[in-house]
Amino acid sequence: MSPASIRAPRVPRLAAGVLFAAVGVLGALSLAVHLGRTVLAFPGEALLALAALAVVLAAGIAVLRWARPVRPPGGAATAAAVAWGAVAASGCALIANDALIGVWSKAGGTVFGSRWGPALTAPVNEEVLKAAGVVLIAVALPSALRGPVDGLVLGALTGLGFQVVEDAVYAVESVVRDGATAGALSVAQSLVLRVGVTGPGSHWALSAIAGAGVGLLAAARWHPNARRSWAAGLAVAAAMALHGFFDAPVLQGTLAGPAVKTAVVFACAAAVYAVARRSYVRRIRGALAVEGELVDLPRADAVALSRRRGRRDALRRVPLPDRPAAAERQRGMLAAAEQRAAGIRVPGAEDEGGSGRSGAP
Amino acid sequence: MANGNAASAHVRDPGWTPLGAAAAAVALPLLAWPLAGALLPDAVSVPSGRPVVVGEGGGYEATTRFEPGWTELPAESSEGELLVYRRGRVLLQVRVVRPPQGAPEGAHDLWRGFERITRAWDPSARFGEPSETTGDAGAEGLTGLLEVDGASGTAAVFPSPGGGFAVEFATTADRFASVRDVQAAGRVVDSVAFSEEER
Repeated sequence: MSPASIRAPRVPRLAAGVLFAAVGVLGALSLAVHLGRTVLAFPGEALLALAALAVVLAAGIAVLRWARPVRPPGGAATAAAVAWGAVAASGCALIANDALIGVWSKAGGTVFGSRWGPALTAPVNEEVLKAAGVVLIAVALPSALRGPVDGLVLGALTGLGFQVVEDAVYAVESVVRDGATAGALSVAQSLVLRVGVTGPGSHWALSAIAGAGVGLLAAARWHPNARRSWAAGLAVAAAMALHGFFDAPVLQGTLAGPAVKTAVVFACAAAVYAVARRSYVRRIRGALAVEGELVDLPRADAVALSRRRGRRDALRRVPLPDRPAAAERQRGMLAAAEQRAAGIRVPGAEDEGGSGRSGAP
Repeated sequence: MANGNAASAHVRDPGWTPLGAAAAAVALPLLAWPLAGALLPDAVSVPSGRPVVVGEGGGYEATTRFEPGWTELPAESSEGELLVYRRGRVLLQVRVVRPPQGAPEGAHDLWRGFERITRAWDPSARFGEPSETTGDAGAEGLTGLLEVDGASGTAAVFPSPGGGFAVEFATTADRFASVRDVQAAGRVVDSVAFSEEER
């Protein structure tokens, strides 16, 4: 546990953990109720979808963890984000979406509800539910989410978990829509479309944008100034608007339409990532330079530690028997730099020697 | 001094505000939308005497006709996929399925698929042996008994003559349903018609 998390008040963290678990149980029950019978009716098709999507999930987690600059997010935060998206958010979304689409259909008729219901429902319910998980992780594991980059990556992981379960639901439902005469073919076609065509710009990208907004608020210890509040609100609103655009009954009929929508969402997420990454890397380099000065490490060597390759190169220059200790010192220095970059001072930083950072490679 | 600043920052933001916001964000859609839905009527009247389009594809359009007394359940229905109707204690589901290219789409294949689909909604569902049937307008398909716990009825499958889609009917009625309502459901099924779409 990092110093930051030690200092954070225990009761809100505990409460966040309890709420996280409670909503997770509710989501799991909802998934079981909504999908249990369909899975039992189409066990082979469901198994096929789950096997394919397990590979997608593993690859997606690896890519998104790698995308975080400097170092990957912690295992607990990663697991919490994926689990929230896959179980809590997706299970609750099934309840909320059914209810809200029902409202649109009752108020505007079956045709209106079918055509516009998803675009008027999913952005509201799903983006809010996914972002709520990122907020809970930020409260429960404050050292895991200190700024926009953390929020973006954990948001993307939350969205990825959600996306994989949604893909599984659509794959099994496609068997029903297709008449259940060739289940494996229906599942394969659904997965090709939802993973291969729209996957690159789906929930992971939308939640990455919203998560960056959550990260802006977390960085300000939930007391943001007006500018930061607007930026965070804009990020969440942008995710919702893009989701609405994605689900709207426009650009339909051919594969080109969904591909265009996917490209737009992906480009927006990439732009947010580029901005957040650049700012974060600049701050972490400055913090590493300061940390390097404290241990008489040349500035260039200290700044090089911000990159994975830089750290590997530094370790290669250390005799083999000393590498584990050197790697440990690297981790300590990085942790200290990340706290410094987040505006959290490390105990003993001013007098040195208290943070275990002396002699970093 | 530095440690004091960090500590005061954390004291200033114990985390209750974001926690409350997250709790509200979860609770609102789970409570508000079902409540709003409960305030709206569940069913709307179905226009009688004129054809209702239930599906289209491959240059053909499928329609059925309803007599007075039928209502549609919009919250249960989805355009082009599933339309749910009710009359008294009789429930009529009209499903449109679209087998993908290369998939079997013969009436007997669709019948077996329809039984599996129905079991996804009610695991107790059992279809009887199908027999050939012809609708009032000449649509050819299969029909047979449908048994579920606490109710019974009929199922029917009508592939489009142009291929690409089929219309499937599932009628269920509990033992208190009136004979008139059950017969009315049969007439809806018999009214299915496929016509070439105007270009």
